[in-house]
Amino acid sequence: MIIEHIDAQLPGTVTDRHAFRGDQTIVIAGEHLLAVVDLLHREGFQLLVDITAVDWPEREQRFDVVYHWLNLASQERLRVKVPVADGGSVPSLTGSFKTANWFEREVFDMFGIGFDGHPDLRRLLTWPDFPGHALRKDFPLDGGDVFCMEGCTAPYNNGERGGR
Amino acid sequence: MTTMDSIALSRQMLDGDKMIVNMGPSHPTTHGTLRIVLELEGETITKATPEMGYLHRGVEKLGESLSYQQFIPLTDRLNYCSAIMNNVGYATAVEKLLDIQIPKRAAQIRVLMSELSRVADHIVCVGVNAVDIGAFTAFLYLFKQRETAYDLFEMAAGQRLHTSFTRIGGLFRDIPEGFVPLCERFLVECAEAIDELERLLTKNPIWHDRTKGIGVISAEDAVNWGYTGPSLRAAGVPQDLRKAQPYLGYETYDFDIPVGTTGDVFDRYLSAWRRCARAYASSGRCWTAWSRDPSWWMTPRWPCHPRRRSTPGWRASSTTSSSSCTAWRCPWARSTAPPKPPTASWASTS
Repeated sequence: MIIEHIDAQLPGTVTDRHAFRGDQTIVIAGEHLLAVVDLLHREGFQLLVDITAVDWPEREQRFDVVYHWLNLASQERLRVKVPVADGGSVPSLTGSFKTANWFEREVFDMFGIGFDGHPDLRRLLTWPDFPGHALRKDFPLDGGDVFCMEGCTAPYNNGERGGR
Repeated sequence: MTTMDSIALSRQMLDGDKMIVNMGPSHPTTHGTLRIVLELEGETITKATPEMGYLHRGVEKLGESLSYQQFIPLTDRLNYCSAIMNNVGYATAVEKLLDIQIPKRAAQIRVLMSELSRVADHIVCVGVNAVDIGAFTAFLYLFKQRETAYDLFEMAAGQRLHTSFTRIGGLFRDIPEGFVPLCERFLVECAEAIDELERLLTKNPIWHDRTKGIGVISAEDAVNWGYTGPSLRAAGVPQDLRKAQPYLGYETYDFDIPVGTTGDVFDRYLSAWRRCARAYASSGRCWTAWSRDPSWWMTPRWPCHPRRRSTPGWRASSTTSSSSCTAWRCPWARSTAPPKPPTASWASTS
């Protein structure tokens, strides 16, 4: 329902959509994010449940930044995905959602995705000189520990260490 | 700025009562490794800068190379106070993705165990918060009940803290025979403990002094900051997923949710604690419902991670458990009069 509304209000922004087991998902480009978020906020999607990201190493636009919204009035949920390339960035939502501040710091920390307009984009969960970004698929499972025995690397890495 | 001005300013800074205190990361009252840099003016905290990340375990990274079933023990560690709820939440999510309908009995046992662990979790939450504010007694009175709850978990799952009780498609096993009498006793004793705590804290003027009007957050701010659970309800937003988007058959249980008005610490305490009482009430109702319904507790078909389909151990456990559970009958199912859940005066008042 909200997706049709976005289509009507902001035609051409939704590049892809799917519904799986009752969850509705739309894919939009980063430059349309703030307009769509503004519309969502006005339509009652006021609880930003989570911001996370997914790493698709084989894709040209390597990451999906994933936003989850909940409409407290209608109990409708919406997932918004924004593809972003390695080294790229998406607009920050800290202007409309205070909770986005730490979510975006976490995504920056774990995936190395930038957020334009974030007031304080520092690492959140790891320390400032932590090597690499821990949730990228090519980050070693042992965290790059030189004392770790052979065989504890991530399967995506063909057994090789990486991420440093 | 003249020299006099800068001298005055530096004197003001020196003479002011501002003090920077580092709390944590391993401090006895932080209940976890959290560092907080505090700015004090006398005894008043004017600024608190939390620094987290001292205990980042990379659970998602570990999950990348595990199958769906193998990940279950890791969900125990997400919140060790209510491990079963994390098991249930994870298993329910995977079942939704794989479109698996779990047996009714499994759903009912999941609800019962979740609500018991909700009680155990709130006992820690309220008890330990009371200790921090200066009420040690409540903590001791409650932990006795928590022990009994953990005995129940141990009976059901074989583990007290890290239960790993669920499997994708059902449960690790059915609840054992001696579980029901102990659970009944727990429900009675816990009701007494909840009443006792109400007398110890809810009407305690010292507790009121230290919690009322502290840390007030409005409903709009709570939503904007992404609050969920008891804290969101304490701010006056009546949002409970068990009511709003029922899962595991929660729509069949009769319970109501406590909602606060001011959003201060006292309301958060009440919303968590009354919720504990509600949880207790609904688990009591729940157990009368399932004790009459002997059916399977595990779906016969265990799904595997696509990459690990040929792992031999899983096949073996899959066939044995499905065959044994078809023959299994609930030992107390033939009793015509199911035991009544204990009722208490607080169950209907808010």
